[in-house]
Amino acid sequence: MIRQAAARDRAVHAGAWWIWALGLAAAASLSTNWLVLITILACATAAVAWRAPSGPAWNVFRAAVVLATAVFVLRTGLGVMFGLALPGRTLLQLPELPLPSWAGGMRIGGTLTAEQLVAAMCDGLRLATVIVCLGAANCVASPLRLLRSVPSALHEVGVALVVALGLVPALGTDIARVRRVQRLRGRRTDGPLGWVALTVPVMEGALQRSLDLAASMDTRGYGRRTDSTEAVRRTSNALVLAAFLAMLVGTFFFLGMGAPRWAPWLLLSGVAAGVTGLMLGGRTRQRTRYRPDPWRTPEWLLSVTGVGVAVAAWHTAATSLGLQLPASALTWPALPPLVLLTVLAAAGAIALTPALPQEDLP
Amino acid sequence: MINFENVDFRYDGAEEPVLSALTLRIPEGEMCLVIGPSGSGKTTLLRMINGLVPHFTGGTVSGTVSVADRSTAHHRPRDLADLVGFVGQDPFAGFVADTVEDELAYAMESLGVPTDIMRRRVEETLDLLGLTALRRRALRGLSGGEAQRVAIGAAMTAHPRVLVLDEPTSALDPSAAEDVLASLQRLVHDLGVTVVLAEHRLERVAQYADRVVLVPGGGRPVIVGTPADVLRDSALAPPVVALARTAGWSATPLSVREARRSAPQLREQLSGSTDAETVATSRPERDHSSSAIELRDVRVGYGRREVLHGTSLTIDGGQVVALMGRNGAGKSTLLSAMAGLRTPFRGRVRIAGLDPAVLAPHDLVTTVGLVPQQAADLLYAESVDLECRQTDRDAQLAPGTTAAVLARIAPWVPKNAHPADLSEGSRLAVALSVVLAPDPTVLLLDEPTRGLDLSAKDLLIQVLREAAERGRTVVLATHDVELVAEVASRTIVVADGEIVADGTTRRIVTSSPMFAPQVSKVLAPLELLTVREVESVLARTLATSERDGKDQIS
Repeated sequence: MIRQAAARDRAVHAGAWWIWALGLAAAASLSTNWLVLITILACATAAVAWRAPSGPAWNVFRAAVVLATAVFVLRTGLGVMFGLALPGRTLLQLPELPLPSWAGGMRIGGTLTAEQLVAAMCDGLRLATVIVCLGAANCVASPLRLLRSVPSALHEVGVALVVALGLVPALGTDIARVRRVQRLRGRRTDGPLGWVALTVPVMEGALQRSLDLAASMDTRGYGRRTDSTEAVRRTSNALVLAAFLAMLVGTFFFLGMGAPRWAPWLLLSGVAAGVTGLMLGGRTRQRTRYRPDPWRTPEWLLSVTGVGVAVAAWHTAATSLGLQLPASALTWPALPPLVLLTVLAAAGAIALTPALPQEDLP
Repeated sequence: MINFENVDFRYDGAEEPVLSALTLRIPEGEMCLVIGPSGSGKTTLLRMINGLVPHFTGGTVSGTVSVADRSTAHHRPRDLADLVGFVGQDPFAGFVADTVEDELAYAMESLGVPTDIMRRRVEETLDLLGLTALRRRALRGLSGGEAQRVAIGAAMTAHPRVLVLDEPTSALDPSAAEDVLASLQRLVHDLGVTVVLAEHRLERVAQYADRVVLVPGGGRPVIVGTPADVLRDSALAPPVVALARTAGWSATPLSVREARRSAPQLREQLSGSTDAETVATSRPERDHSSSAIELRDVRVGYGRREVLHGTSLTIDGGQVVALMGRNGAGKSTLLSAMAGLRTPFRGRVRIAGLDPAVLAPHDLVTTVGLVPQQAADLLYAESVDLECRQTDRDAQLAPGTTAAVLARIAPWVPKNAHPADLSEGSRLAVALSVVLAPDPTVLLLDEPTRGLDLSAKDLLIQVLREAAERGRTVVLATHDVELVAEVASRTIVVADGEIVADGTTRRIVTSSPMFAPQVSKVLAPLELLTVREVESVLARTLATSERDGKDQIS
């Protein structure tokens, strides 16, 4: 084993980024305190600004920001229109639609107070922050790279997903190209007829591409198995299936039916069966990895700080009201020190990850 | 190494077998060239070697195909992956990963090669194929030539004992093709790899082959032999062989070098009468005063990336103009700007005085026609026949016009086949007739000879000449120097989005060895480009000497 120089520029393990981002997202989902949300938002954006690879990855983040903004606006709008009336400073007097008495506290329109507006906006911000966190993870570590690290028993499923994800952008460029070219046949490319004429070559192209890809992958040994016995393969498949069932039932009872005592055990045994099955299944394949992403200090830092933020948020939510919007919504909220500290640590962890290698772009 | 024993193959639902009673033995360490007319079954034969046919295509095989005693009947392509490396016609269609390095490693990963060996082999392959500078590049951004080299590298890293390549040089510019062939040559000589390749560009590969397999198509038996034996009497022959026939040499040369050794006498014979005048009359410069294509300071590109940096160009009516230049130089972009597919950032495009980008679709088809590189994009009907009828309707032509054009340029294309099932060459022929039928004033062709055999190419040349006779303007972007030598009166060389040379084909083509056709290389310093020209000059010399003889007698 050759030890590589640790300081070299490299891409950080995708799994670490996802744990980090999911931790932030979990914390955000627990909070309606806009100061906390904005801190988390800033932290996620910093990751993108410092560690996003150049190229199409940026589009992913841009799309996430657009989506988050749309969700924020929509949620605020809904809150204003349908939200519960909060007493406070009146901003606007909207016409109110009378609702029958069985609608309970529901109302449409009516008085809009500043408190109601702020509460609606904070809820919108919470959703937007979660979306931005996931968008940031997508941007700094594409799901394709994450799938490269799946256990080899799940390799086939992983590749199928990678291929499917890869076909979507290809479809977009195909449509543009075929549309341009079809103008040359003297056809209108707009209107329903134009789209019909478009679908045949585009769908055919996509199908042909998948067939080509399948043939190419097979040609290069994809899905080869060692001469393992049929029994091993069957056992592995049965174990994975049983694991899924056990986890499904276990989770259902654990969350729902007042948690009978055996539910956690069922859940645990499901996990154990799954791991065994995957390990057995992995033995029937002989795959190796070219340059597997290593898991070193930066990865540990990222994942620990990410989980740390989530734990701190959960602890704060359980013990105090620090994550909630203050009762009088218009006052400046307090920033719980534990959450602030962990978010700062998460941001610091980004700075300690190695820089991305420079792309040799033309 | 590779054994075909009494093999018959028929696709499901097809009446005719593609291959029948094929018995073929390719020994280890041989470079074997598979040739044959378009759609004759070369690709099928290649894909049978690693079992893609029939495992991926369906169809009925009888007889046995085996590689190193592993029969493809019992081994799927994946089970032969350690033995056979396969490079398909379109390198981009075969890419699995997203960067060059990952692509090179893919086959080894599947085969379970240990990591340290994998690292070393990737480095070696990068060096061998000159890909070191590209190692981290995204595959999507590669040019055609680079992609082809990566595809070959990806097939090589697993150290297969057999390498099968389907038209590895057809999409490449001459120098990239030389690079690829040189690396294949090195594999055969240094590592004893068995290479089987199909190729239409015989002038590029014939000299490297140890053995030629001619697949005549229609289920007729294949002809196997040394390149000289097979090509001597074949209708598919590179220009040097045709030249040898014309000159009556006894030995069949396969390379320019061999031909030059036999050529001194011919050169002498020709030099007496090859003054500028004779050559010029054999290729008349037409002078139509109206300019059919006019580009004024055109800047065009994709997204924000500018590909052409201010191109100005005037092309007269009735000319055949060739655009040449390396892969990714901007030839296709120039054509799409002429066809109005891309609106220039700046500058003006006029086709017969009209702006193609704003023409109504119906007027566009009679003004400018473009056959794109991916000819299949133009086709969307269920069958060739429907496609032809649809064209007649769209362009308001008399019923049967398009079908007649197709019957003329590619009589072999089956009428009721689905366009997607046709071979590359046949699909191109269908697309070409669809574009030709409305008889546009300007005809643009992007790589029109990909997948076309030499006789189909002759038909194409004839069609283009006739179009020019009628005063139509033809612009073709191509890497095929032999085609350029045959049809083009003017050649424009594009490099990095700029026009670097523009002049008569004779001047441009003879001034650089990379773009020179074989005949001109053999006969240099005489400026003759094609066998046809040599024939006509010889005929004239003969006539003159006969007349001289008569004069003396009288």
